[in-house]
Amino acid sequence: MERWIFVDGETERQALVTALAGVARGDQAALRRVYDQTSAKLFGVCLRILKDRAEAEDVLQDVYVTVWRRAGAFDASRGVSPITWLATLARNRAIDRLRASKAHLSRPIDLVAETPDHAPLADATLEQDQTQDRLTHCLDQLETDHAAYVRSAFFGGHTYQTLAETAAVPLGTMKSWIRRALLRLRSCLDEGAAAL
Amino acid sequence: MSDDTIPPGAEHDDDLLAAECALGLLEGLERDTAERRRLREPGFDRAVEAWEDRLAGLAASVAPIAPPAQVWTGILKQVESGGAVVELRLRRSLAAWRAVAASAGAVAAALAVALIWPHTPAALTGGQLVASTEAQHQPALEQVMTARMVGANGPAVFVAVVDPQSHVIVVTPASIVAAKGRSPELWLIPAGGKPIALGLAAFGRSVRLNPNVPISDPSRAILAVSMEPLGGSPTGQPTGPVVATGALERT
Repeated sequence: MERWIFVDGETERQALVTALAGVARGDQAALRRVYDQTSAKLFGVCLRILKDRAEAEDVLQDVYVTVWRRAGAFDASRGVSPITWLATLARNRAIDRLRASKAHLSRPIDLVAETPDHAPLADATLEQDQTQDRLTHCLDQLETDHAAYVRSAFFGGHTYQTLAETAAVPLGTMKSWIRRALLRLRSCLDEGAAAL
Repeated sequence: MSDDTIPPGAEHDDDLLAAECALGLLEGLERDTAERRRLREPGFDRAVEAWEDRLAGLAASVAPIAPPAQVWTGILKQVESGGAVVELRLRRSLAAWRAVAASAGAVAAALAVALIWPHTPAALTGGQLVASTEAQHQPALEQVMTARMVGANGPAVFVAVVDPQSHVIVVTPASIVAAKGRSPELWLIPAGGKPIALGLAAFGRSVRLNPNVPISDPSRAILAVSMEPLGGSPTGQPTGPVVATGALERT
């Protein structure tokens, strides 16, 4: 089963790399292939962050227009996976929009809502199941609250300041917690990478 | 608990700072400093990217949801209409700018901005940038304006098009340094005045004109792009490095 996912993932990844190269040459059909392969995943990310369909649709559209204009910026030789590149683009754009609207300021840190959806591993757009599993595993190693803060920063656009305010702790305390969490996360992920 | 519980050396750990950048945890001066380092230090920029990659697993954990069909329709519309026009303008502006830059002996890279400046009374009532009395006496036609914007941070070109119908500027940077984690913000600087935020010059994004921009003579105004924290300047004035400036000129 895992072997199948891996093989399938490699195929998906290669197809996406090829399609992005096509987009960089101005091939609209290639853009459509990228869209078909990734839009549901990226829409999920935008919606998760913005929690508003109209806003999420708008940002998603913006993301693919950006891909159209900037596909040449994706460099497969740097080892970045194409879906990671796209997901980061979508996440950053959605956070950008969220902060512009200031809606995130009133958003509480919700320990339940910020837990992962546990999407099915066989999701066709995901070629990085192992990486994702590892991240989930490493986040699980953190204290529950600290993992929630990391997720709140990622999905909620929270900064040290707003996290500290929301959690009603001094700024220094929040920084200390998160920095420690990030260092533990890094060493856990690096151990995982070394083991692969 | 306080800051002294941070692991030894952590406060000087660049990689930790890169993680804070990737997650967007910093604000104000700390963020500005880190963003400037991303622009200047490729190694630090790569460290931020590496953290973005590590954290992308969080995005991967989100369940996919099929977007409605109108999203693709909208993408196609922008790709088919905007794309070609922008490319065409870009090439022309770029060539024009290169000539100017060469004659000025400028070693620095530049940004070119083409603006269609609306001068119609209808546009004025709709709340437009142009507020000069001279403008109102001019025939109702669009004035194309160009700003050749020279910066110092490598090859970067912006193309901005003002749509007089929808009152938006579409700003399209091309071949600019990847701007992950920060937002290029577009400013209009009237002669002798303070910069007026026109909005984020994000890739391909429409920027709504501020209907109350107090400018008397657009031909003496300067356009500038600065790199700001995500979401734009927190102060309403440029806080990040200004990557390009240029005067508006009628073409």
